[in-house]
Amino acid sequence: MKIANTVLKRSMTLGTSQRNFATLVMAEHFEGKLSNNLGSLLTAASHLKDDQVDVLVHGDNCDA
Amino acid sequence: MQKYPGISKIIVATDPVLQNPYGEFMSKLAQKLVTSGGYDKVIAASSGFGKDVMPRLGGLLDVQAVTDIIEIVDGGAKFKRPVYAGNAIATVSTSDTIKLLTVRPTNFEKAEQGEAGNGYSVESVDAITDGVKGSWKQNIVSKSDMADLGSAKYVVSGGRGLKNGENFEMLYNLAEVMGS
Repeated sequence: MKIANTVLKRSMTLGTSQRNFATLVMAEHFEGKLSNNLGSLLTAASHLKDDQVDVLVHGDNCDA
Repeated sequence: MQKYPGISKIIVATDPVLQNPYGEFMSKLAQKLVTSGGYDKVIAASSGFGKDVMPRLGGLLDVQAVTDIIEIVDGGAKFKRPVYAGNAIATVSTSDTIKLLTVRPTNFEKAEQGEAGNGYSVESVDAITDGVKGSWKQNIVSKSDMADLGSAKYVVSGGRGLKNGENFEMLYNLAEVMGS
């Protein structure tokens, strides 16, 4: 029963939409500067062999 | 950022509440992107930011994050991570549909930056503030000329063999030369 509930909860949480082979990289941005970690994160993302690698940047009045 | 290669799209979330890297806002935003954008992998650094966001995102998506990855094996089928305080390396995999990963940046060479303006698409998204109960107050960051321990390429350490505190000055000099 517990397993069934978990499966049900996951299907409700994730939805039934198709998963892509895509990676979302979460960049760190603080006080107007991107973290030096981004270069390493992109290298790690490249090891995942996905065609699509998107980067999420957050902040106030920031741009790409 | 547009100098980095290998980026398909840059998603920019601009909002005053996102000025500081607070995990509750970021995890809700990431959840929305994962469910609407169909991402099957989310990757962040094993930093304070990553450790704040990923567990929250894992809770929202009901998946277990794989943390502190030092090597990605077989295109993401397996991951190597230290266990027992770094005395052993475990190779792990996950059956979750969505893989949440935190990696140790020092174990991955930085991608070389190229020419700016390579024409990546840019998308703007709004912050999600509904249901967020916490708020960012302040960051307390220790001031030091030395590299952060979590991202340092080299770590110089000393112990009893140095005999007294004055001799640690030699270590500081060595660390400075090595760029630690």
